[in-house]
Amino acid sequence: MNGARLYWRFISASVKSQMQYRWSILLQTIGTLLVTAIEFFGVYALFSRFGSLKGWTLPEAALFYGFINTAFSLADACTRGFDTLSTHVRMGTFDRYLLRPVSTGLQVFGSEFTLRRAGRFIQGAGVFVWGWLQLRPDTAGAAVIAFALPSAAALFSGIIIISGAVTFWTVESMEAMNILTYGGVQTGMYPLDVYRKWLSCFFIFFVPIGLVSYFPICAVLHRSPFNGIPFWVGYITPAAGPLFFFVALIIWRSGVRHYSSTGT
Amino acid sequence: MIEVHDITKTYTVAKKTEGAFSSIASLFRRTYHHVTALDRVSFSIKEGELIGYIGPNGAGKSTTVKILSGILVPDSGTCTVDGFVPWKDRKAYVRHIGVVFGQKTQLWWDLPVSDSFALLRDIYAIEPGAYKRSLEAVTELLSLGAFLDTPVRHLSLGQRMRCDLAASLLHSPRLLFLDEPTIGLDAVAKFAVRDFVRQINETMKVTVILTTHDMDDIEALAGRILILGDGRVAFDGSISTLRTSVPAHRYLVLDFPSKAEADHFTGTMKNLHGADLVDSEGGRVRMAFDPQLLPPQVLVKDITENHAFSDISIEHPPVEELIARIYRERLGQ
Amino acid sequence: MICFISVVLRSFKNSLQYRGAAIAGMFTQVFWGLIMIMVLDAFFMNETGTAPISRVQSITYIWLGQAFLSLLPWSYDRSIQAMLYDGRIAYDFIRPCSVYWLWFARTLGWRTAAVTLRSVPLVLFAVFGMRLLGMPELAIAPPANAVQFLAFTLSMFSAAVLGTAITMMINVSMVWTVSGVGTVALVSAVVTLFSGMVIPLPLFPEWTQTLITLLPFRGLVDAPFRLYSAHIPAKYLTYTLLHQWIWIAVFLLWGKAFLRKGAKALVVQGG
Repeated sequence: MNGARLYWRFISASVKSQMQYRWSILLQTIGTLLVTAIEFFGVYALFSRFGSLKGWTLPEAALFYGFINTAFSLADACTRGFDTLSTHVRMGTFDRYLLRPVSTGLQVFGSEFTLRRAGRFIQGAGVFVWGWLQLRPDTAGAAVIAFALPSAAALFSGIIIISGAVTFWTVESMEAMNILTYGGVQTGMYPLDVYRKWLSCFFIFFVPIGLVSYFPICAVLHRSPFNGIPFWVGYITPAAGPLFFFVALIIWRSGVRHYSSTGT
Repeated sequence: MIEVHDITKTYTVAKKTEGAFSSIASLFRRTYHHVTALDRVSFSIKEGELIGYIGPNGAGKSTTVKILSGILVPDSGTCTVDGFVPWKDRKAYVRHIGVVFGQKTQLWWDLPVSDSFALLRDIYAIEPGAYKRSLEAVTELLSLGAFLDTPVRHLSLGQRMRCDLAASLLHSPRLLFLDEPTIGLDAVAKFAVRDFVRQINETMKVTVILTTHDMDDIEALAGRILILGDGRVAFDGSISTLRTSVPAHRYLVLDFPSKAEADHFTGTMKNLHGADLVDSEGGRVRMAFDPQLLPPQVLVKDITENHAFSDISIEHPPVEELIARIYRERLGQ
Repeated sequence: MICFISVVLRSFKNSLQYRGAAIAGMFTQVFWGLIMIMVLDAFFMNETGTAPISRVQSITYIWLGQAFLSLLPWSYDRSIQAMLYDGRIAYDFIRPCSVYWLWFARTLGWRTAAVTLRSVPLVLFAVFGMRLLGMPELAIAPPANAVQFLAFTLSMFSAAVLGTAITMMINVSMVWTVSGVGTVALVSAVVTLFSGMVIPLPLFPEWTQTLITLLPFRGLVDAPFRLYSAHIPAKYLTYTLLHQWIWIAVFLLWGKAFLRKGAKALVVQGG
């Protein structure tokens, strides 16, 4: 478990250096809190106009909304390093990671743990807790969330790792990958069955955000996710998160191999 | 053309405090300190002069340029340029001046040079005929013809500086401020820019005020230098006046055929009437002497009679050394 | 005036260079628009005719919002930020023009270029792309009629001026904090919500409607879009324009005073 200790080292160094700017961190947290809070205001406004959405109520929607934001903010905090990767690849500074006797993935993970996005986490968690207190699901529901939240965070991390790995081939960072991250969050804010079939299929079978957020929350609410599918399927589907993360690591490795063989 | 009399400018700067809590406190109660950038500065400049304006960082050079270009209002003192008070009626005044800040381009990065020129034509409302004439003149003088249609981002630093010079001349100003025009340029480009500045001054009859850190610029260009230190004018005159007014030593450089002979020479230095050894490297020996106390002919005669050497030369101290002396002696730094 | 137009044109031309970034950004916009439209469409499914804006009008509203996204004053002018950062801004103070209008022209040119680059392909997608993808019911609707379209065009021009006047406030604020991160985050939150970019303003709760009507931000996209789909009849165009131009005047005066203060702070930097 040397890797875990090393990761902890990296992270605490990063947090320590950010704490030099406590004041600016606090302001930015309040800033992101407001920016993301307006999104929930939009959800609230629509429900207050229309009453319900395909049978879903506002507290139920709050669970979807809060869950996806919390999961994404966790992933986002850990994987900032992958966001700036294209700069490193372009400038050739990625080489210094290859010089160290530690896995490159771990180093990029550890290169930055950002506190600046704490606003999204606070807001997402707050909305989720509000919805939860309104609905009071059973203990099995709490267990599902305990399983699904880290899985969803792993899934988002996987997406961010893949978009980082892609830059080993493309050099430029791919704006279109934002569709998977921010677009995925956007999609996951509402229950997946409100969308057209092709879109829900995309986020179930291709990038399985639905499996780690929509299905488990349906299980929490004892509601069938799609016609003919029993609610308890959502107890199992979050396993897709770690699986996807694993696939992302494989893609990352082959990206690094491509980089060190071509030297871009 | 320029009359500056007793200009004083003091900045009030809020003290920066560290830490979150003290920065909250500073929102309510701030502590200030005053920085005097210019302290009763006076000088006058005649039409057609090329002035080197020098001084260390923070000496007040850019404050002076800002005041003379109408951006900044001094606390006290008077200043007239070409009949204008720069900071009054700024818009009318700035039509008569051109400014180039070295390393900062006024050209549009992604557009061809000619686009930036056309924009300046509109900004200064230059008559079409006058614009055509002055564009031809600067294109010819600065040989810009080859890259007028090139986007600025593709130009070399030296080419860009030439275009920036041209851009500041399009509206035919009578006065040109050049703030560090050769900074960052390679030796060839520096040489070219100096040549252009001289031509702008001589053929276009533009009065030039040149601020710089590069003493080679000053030696190559300026007929007159103004040295600023600590907000005051420490020296105003030509380079030759600078040389005579600052009591300075000369360097005597001797080359010996071998290091052994050079070492032998330095060993007998005591007899050399008070010339000091500066350094000895390989077969080359450098000595400093004060020509007032030790006339060069006496020193040279003494050496030629007693030692065999392969070459001999006497050097003036470089200008920066003279300026450093001025700071030390006149400003007590 | 010639000077102003010349700067607008140059800035427009300069900003057209960033076609690549604009096209890349379009993917995200199309996607976001699709998501939002499907959500609204689902909300409208059990609607009983009491909604203050129709399904088709809402869908058109969202598509227009994506097309004119770049007009919204939720970011500063990067060229001005860069000039403040490296000191090139000094040149603006030695020109025989007002510094405010120089910056204003630059920002207006940049914003109109960004809108031109994005709006045309986005509208084309919203018309034809949606039909090709088999979702004609979610495509953008044509303008209600020629008169409404004319009213839309007029108020859209005013919206461009209003957006620029508000952007100028952010631009000037960068004199104090060059990074501009804090200000921009707050301003963008307010602008995004109250302009109608999160959800169409008519769908906001009843108790917010008076506030929304008075705020300047509905003049940015909401009012023009509602003119387009005749949600606001063209005969009320004068009120829309009046609202827009009163706020334009407020931001112009405010921004100019703000810049005068900023200019003082600016020249102090670097003795």
